[in-house]
Amino acid sequence: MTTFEEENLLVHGTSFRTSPLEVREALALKKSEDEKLLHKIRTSLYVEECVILSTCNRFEFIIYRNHPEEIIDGIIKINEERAGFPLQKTHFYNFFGRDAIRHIFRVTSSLDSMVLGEPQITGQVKSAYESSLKLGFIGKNLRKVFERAFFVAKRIRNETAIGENPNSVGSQAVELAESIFGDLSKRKAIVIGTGEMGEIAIKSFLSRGISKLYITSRSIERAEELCSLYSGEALPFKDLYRGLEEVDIVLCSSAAPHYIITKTDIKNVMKKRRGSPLFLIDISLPRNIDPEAGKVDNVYLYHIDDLQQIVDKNIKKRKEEAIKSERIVEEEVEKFLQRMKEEKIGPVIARVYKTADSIRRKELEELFKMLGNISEHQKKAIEDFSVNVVRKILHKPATRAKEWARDGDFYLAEAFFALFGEDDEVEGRNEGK
Amino acid sequence: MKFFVLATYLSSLLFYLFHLFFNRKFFLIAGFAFLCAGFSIHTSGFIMEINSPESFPAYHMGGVMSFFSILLGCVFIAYQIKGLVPVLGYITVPAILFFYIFSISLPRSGVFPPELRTVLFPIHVTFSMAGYAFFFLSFATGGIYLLQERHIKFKVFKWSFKRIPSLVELDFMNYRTVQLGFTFITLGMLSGSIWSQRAWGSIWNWDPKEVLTLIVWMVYAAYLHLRLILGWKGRKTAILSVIGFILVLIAFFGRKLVPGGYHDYI
Repeated sequence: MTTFEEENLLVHGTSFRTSPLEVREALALKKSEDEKLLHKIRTSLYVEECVILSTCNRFEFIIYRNHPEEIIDGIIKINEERAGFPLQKTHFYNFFGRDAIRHIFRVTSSLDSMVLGEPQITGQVKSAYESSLKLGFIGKNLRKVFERAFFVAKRIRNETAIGENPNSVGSQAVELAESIFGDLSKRKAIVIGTGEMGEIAIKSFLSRGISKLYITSRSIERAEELCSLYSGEALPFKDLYRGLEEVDIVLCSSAAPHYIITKTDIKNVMKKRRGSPLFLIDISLPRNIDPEAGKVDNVYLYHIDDLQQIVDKNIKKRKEEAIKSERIVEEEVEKFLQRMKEEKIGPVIARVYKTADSIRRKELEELFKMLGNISEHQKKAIEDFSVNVVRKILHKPATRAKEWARDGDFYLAEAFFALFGEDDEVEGRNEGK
Repeated sequence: MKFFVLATYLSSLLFYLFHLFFNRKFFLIAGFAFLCAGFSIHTSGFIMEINSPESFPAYHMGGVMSFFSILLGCVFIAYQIKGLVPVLGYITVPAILFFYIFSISLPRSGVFPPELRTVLFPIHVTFSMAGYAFFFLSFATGGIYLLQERHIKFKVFKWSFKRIPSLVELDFMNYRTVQLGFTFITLGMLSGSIWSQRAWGSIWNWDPKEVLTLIVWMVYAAYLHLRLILGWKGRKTAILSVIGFILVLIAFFGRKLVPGGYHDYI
């Protein structure tokens, strides 16, 4: 096939929306398994263009092939072999043509993600595409689809605020810390207590490369265990106040039933800190930091409820932005399909122009011979005139043909070629002159 | 000339406003480029007015305002070289334009007063005005700091929250600009008193402008003192820097209400 045919595109896969974790886990690509699997699909199902997208939330084959509906059973069989147990058809979805394009655009733009707008998926799609490209499984058809998908993802990121507001308590805490301290790479943090929520926040802060992490807990063993996990430094609980003087960010997630840090503590600590700002995050229930402590100058106290409230608002905002993004996807799918149709007629039109031009040249040559001695200036004027005549005569039919192609009227488009294209009779008459 | 300067400053402001509303990087770069262009034309115009080394054009209110606008532009541009801080531009660019319009709307007195024909005059004016320009920036950063602190402390997040640099950066800029402003205004006062000593035989004359400037100087001295000795930081010092600049304005324009003294040219 020389041009892109939308009905040849197939997405067969499963995601967190349609199947339980065990199914996705069993199917997920193991390290450097993609090559083997791609070759298997090529040899057994005669697929030339294929991308395998495997993330923790989805497993998909994106395939371009003649009559792709014929190979679905084959893919299921391969999947079952890999999983080692029979798979239910209802856990899988198949998208063809326009729906497949829309699906690929939506997935790449993170509109189909579990966490709406999370940025990793675009990179995951990119690396899946690149590994297929490296192994020689990308032809010009999938290349067109994926290149457009990356463009759409970028456009959505630029034109909507879908990825802008943090959607988890941990990343919200990091954003607030950055609005206080700027770059966090020179900042130190202390974690009080070893609660589970605390760990989530630790990970967010570590991802921003904070320079030092103290962990303190009443049970020193648990603190040391966490330290080895996150390369932190255990601090005896009695040295907590020394720690507060040194660090910039405090994460409190202990299970104590009372305040561990009071307003007076903070006042004293702030004197020793000479006013350096202190960011307190209280993730514990009941509170472990006296809310009054947040009133001390240059101290910023956030309780988990405060963070959750902001995150809820952000998620609401993201959903609003998702509506905008869906509109962009729809627009882009339409544009993509139109462009593909126009591309089909493109070479035809080019050939028509070429034929017309060769006729023009020949006629011009004859004319110049006949006229004999004329000036360069006159020659140029006649040549320009001939170019304009050809261009103007062909302009309207060519534009029409493009429109017909866009609307799917290929018979009409071909009629254009029959009327204006190269033709033995035309050529012959020309020769005869 | 005036038209070109005005047009470029206005375009700069326009692009900064576009950036404020549409948040596209292109507008910010265009705004800054126009500001630099306006600044260059404005400065070369100002320099061309200097006929001899001793006839510095800032001998009347219009000239002083024009000169202040230049210094403000110079200090602002220098601060943007490390990285453009759009929010600072939203405040400073209108101020540059305001002082420029103010300067061209005032009548020019044609004759250069002979008693100002000393090399100490441009030195005194440049130091003092540079000090004021830095104080303006400390006022701007202090104001922005207070806005951002409000967002974070009271957990009310307006759209402006994401457009503002971090508190620590703002606080540091606030401190740095006060340090520089204080140094320059001190040099301005010293050069003034040397001049006074030579011309009138005493370093201090209780001229209204002198007294008001001394008050300004004391407020900023207090800022630095509280910061260094008592470890004041953040909100309190930001408030002080805002108050400080309001006093600068009073000292500068308010003294018109008290006629007489050695600073009657402006």
